[in-house]
Amino acid sequence: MMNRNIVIIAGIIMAAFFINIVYLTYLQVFRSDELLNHPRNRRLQILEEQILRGKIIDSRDRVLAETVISEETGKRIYPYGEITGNLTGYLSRKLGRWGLEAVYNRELLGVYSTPGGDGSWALKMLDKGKAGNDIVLSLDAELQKKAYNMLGSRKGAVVALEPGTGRILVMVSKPGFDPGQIESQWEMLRADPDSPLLNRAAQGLYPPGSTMKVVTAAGILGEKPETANRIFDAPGYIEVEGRRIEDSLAKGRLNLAEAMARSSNYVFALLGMELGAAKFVDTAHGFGIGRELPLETATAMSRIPEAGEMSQLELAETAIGQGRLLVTPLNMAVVAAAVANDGRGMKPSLVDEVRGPGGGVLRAFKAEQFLTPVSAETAGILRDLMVAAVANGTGRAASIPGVQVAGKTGSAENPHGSAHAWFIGFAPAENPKVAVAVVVENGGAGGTEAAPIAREIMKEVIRQ
Amino acid sequence: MMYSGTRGHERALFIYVILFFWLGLFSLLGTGNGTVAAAGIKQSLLFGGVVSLGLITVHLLLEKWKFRGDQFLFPLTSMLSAAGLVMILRLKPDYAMRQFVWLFVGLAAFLVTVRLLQNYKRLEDYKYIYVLAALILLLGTILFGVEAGGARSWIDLGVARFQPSEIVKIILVIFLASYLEDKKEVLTVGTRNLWGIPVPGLQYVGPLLVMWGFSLVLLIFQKDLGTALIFFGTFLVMIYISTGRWSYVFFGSFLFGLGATACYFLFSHVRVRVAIWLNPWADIEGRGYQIIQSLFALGSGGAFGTGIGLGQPNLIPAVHTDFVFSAWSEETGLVGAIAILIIYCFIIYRGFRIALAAQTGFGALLAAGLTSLLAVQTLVIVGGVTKLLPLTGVTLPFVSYGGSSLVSSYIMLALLMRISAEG
Repeated sequence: MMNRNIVIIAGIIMAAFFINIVYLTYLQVFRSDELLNHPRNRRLQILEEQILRGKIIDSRDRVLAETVISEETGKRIYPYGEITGNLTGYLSRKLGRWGLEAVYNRELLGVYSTPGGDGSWALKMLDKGKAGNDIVLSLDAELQKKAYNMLGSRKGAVVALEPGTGRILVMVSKPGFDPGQIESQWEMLRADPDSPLLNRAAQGLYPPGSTMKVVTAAGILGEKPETANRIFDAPGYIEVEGRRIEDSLAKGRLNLAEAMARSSNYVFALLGMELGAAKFVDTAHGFGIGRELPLETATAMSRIPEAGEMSQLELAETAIGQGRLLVTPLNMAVVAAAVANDGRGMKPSLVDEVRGPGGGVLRAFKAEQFLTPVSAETAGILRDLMVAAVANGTGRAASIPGVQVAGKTGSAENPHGSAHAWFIGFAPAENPKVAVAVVVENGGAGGTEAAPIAREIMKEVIRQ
Repeated sequence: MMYSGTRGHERALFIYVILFFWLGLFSLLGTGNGTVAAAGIKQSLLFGGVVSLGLITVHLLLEKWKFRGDQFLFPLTSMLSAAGLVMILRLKPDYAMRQFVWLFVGLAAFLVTVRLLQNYKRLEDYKYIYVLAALILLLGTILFGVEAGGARSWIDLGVARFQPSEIVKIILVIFLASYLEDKKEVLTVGTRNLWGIPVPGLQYVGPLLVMWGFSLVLLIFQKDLGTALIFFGTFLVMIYISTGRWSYVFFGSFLFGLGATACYFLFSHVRVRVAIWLNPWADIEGRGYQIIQSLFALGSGGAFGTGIGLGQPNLIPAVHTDFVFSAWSEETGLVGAIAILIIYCFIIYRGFRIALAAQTGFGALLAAGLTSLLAVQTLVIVGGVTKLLPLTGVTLPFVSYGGSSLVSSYIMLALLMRISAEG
């Protein structure tokens, strides 16, 4: 009798132990990641301070961010300062992490916690001699510096990428900030009306002006390829719904190439209206306008009104890059790159690889197509139009001796003063190595302000 | 079970215990953490050597005395003590020497009990003396006790602090075993039905009410919820084993629930405990701090742990006493945590086997009671640090820092092994 009772009690106690083991498994495996990464769990911070954080380097092994040990404490230094500040971001005990320092925090620390809840991260770090991984960017820091300096005292952004891969070579935002001084300058930077903390290249939203005409042309050529041979009679203005859009620089008989070269508002407003709002907006979406643009760091989404919300006037204005249309320089670089790459838009990317402390590649870049805005044929016609615009049009300042350059200028009217100067393009036209987008805020004419910067960047890439 | 007289199993198992202990010491030495590393290789070798020798000496003495008791229990508890010593060295180096001394006091108490208590059945004869002793100890604690860690359950002897409830636990189990064995028949008959629920007759509820009062006194005057839970849990288990009647368990649980509910409304510290248990995240930096640090430790350890000396368990307050299990689980992971729980399961399994093999009802009840006491205490603290149960500050038997707990655990071990020798 009593023996039976003892066995029952033993069974209950064993069951209680079993429940405890199941619950421990839940905590230590299934909730491990959440508990380890909880902001109040100080373990990661303690470990971080013991680890030699990895470097951020450009594609030619130039250091953009590294930790230097002096007097037992590590100090994070950024040799390119404000030139790459918007990309590297910052690292501060007070302000937290930002930019690539934040996005690649775990990789830089060499801390991994697998989804299955593997808590042996501390051991893994010891194996690597307590050093994190390096992040290798596709960026060319010297080229970045050149672009940054060419902007001079002007505000703006420069983006250059490889059309065939989407690898970003230059991504400048001016004014920038020095991540090394972030703590002492924080209040000033935050209050600055020029918003130096904003990465204009990926997050700045500007009206694209005439550079949008490339998109409008892409739309109409996809729909009516014969437009390539059409002759227009441009009166020097266009009247839509009682409003007159001036176009004094492109008067007379024009074919499509001449219309592009002289940036005819009449022709492209007309073509936009002929294409219709729905197809025009579809084409823009195809180029990534109004869609999330993937990148390792934060991007803003370019904005285009819904087709149903556009009046004829707004359609005409949007077709020439005005109205409520707002784009990021990165997006316009992607537009140029997609045309350059026979209509295949590659996903833009900043990070080439994650490199272990021993030099082994832990994660490598893989080119990925993410847009198909136009066919290869249409892309070919667009290229010829853009070549004409540089060869004997508004984009002459972008031409490089001995190299065929394709491009389009823009002067985007905006409520903040003079027009924003734009240039988008690629070179060499027949075998593109680089696509660019340059915007100079309130710079005026794209041909004189933006095109020369684009030319120097393209020249440098081709020379290499 | 046939015992050969020579303790071959025990000796074979000790190879693993010693290996395990030295592995732990060398891990600490390797990571440069704790006293082992601070004191250097020479002292560490000395420390490890003395502990190993101490454990082996106990084994050799048992063999010399031709002690026929269980051969598995001592290696298992030694494993736990070894894990405890390594963890305390790693967590609170300053306390390691004291724990080292207490371990030897515990081993001495173990040997003395095994040697002097040739016939455990004699324990049955003095049951009312136990009650008196328990009451004196308890009253003494209430009157002269000092408070530590929120519970007023220590008596300060100058040289060291002593926790009477640790001794009262054992006395209580011995008393209950003899009392229940005596009154078994009376308790088994006579239940009444109250609205369909079987309720023990009033005349038999007496001991139940006394135990209930006893636990509540602990709860109210010492603020020691954990010990109250362990006392009452063990009591319910023993009364069930002796009578086979669930009605006692239900009625007892009901009474305890009633008392606990009353305490909940009467005392703010009980309310606070419950609130923390239900949602510690509401007050992360305040009252929920301890349990959340424990959860962080467990979660950060993951499946395989950080490795001994490589985690950050010292972020948990009182880590070396109440939270030693969390520290162990952080550094050895789920794998290590389950290993420790399985060792307890083995010990409990052997304990119940001893109870089943005991020749007398008193022996069976005593063995089952001691085993249940150990099991309930382990479950209360492991459940507490994992937030499965409300957290109550009790020690993890054989592992946690704490002299009284270690000594009383070894006395319990000696009693169990004595009963097994007669079986």
